[in-house]
Amino acid sequence: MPSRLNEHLSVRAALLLVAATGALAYMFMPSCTAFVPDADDAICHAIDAAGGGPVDWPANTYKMWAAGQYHQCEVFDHVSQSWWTESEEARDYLAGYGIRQGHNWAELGRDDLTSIDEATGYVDSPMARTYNGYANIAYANAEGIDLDRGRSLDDFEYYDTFLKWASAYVHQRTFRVSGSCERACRTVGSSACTTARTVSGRLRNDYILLYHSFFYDIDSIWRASTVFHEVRHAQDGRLHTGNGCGRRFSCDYKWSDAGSNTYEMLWLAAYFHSIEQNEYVSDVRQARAEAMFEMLRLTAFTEQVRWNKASFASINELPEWYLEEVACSEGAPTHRCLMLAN
Amino acid sequence: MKTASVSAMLAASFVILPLGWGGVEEHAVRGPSDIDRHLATLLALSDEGVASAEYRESIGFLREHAPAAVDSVSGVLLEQSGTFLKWHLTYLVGEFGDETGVELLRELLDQAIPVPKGRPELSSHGIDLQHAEEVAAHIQAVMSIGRIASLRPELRPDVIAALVEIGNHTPMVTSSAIYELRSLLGAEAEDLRQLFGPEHAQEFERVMPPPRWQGLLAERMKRSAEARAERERMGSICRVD
Repeated sequence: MPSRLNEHLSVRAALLLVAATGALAYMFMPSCTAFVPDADDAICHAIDAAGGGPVDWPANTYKMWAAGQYHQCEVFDHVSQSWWTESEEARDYLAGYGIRQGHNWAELGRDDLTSIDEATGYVDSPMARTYNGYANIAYANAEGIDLDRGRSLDDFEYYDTFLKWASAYVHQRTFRVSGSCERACRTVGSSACTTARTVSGRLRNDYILLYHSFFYDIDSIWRASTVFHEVRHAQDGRLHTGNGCGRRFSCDYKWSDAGSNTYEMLWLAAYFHSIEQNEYVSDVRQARAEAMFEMLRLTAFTEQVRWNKASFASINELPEWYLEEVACSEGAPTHRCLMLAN
Repeated sequence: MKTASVSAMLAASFVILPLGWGGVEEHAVRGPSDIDRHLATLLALSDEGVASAEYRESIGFLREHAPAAVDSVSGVLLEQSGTFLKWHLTYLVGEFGDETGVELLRELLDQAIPVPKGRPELSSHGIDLQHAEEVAAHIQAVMSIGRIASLRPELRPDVIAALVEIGNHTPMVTSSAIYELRSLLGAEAEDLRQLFGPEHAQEFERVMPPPRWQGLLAERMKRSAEARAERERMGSICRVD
């Protein structure tokens, strides 16, 4: 018996030793940003260098973009296309999507929102890049920031286009949006990165955390659709259910589960089918949304989506039909899925 | 701080364009060619598009010199993999390209797409950016081929034949190819059904809401057409050229 006790103790001690070694190694492991070239962690260096004063946002992003590396998405971030830089009211409206309640924005550019890279004219700070993502959601509908986002999401007389409903949905179903400087990539130098993470909760305790890749690796249309995706995780609590989809990350099982990928595609479809045109709905942005929609359709679901781009032609005229969840004949009686089911 | 101008932006473009583009290093010494200069304008101002006079001038120039412009971007389109720049230039080839553009885009479609790196995660939104961008570039190539036909009617028969071939030989973009054919041909696209397998019949179907929604749809479409007409009327009164 004592020898068996000793054996147990030594196994426990060995396990503890392994855990302690692991924890120690983790503590001293440099972060992802410590390995990558300056451009990847320039943002963090710039914040550090500012010492609490105005941040000198990195100017080398445009160079990296032309060199075909990441940090390449400034084309939709030009100050002339960023209406909110001229309007306190617009900034207030955008902050109302949950950014106001978020953490870390002071470090990520709250005081430098309207600063631009003087050589290129692009907004640079993570918060400004985030605003440009949200601006696509706010301004893609004809009402823009005059839209009353507080009405019931069932009020389709008022939200008579999907893009109006989408703006209200993002506003009402998000509590907190925080930013992080972390470059959350699979390995150093890998292009497989986490752009955002959402913790869901029904008691206004949900939050969305946006990572470095969200600000600097993806364009503002992709940022907007990512936000829409994350919001579906937030208070609605829809997690990814699939595996083995084409892109391997963030898979949903099928379209009719009405998960985050379905919602992201709905927003993209509404955007590229929109007949409204303004600085936030340009031809090139609509083409980008169309390509991203098809990319998701092909790669984000375990079971092939049978709908195509043309299936969504009426989404801005009849949003309630595309969003209606009904009892699914294929599932249990309680299972509900999108009217546009498969 | 807001002192940046388009000309400063373009100046920056001239300096850096040769860095990433194969075959144009010589321009770093003798300055950018007209083709490069106009390409830089399109890259910088494509968000403003034809609303910008500079963009209109550049797109006109590049359409006139399409083979040279297509040649200038071929390095990025065929050598880079999975970048936003590649997607962006693929889009622009649709705006200025001719038959050489169609050929280049078809070459792009023959390129392999890298296998995505990643693992399933329930709560975080991860993505292999390179893989996603490469898929987007392939889809954009089909969209841009369709766009070339709509801008150059004389190429329509050849482009339609090319889209049928692409749709049949590249499964990943079959849906996109049929969508472009439907956009180009309208109701006549029905005639092409038999050129695709029965498994693609659904790509030709029109999705209609159930009858109980159709009255509302008709009413909303009428309302939005009226609102659009009113906006256009007001726009024509207020427009300053």
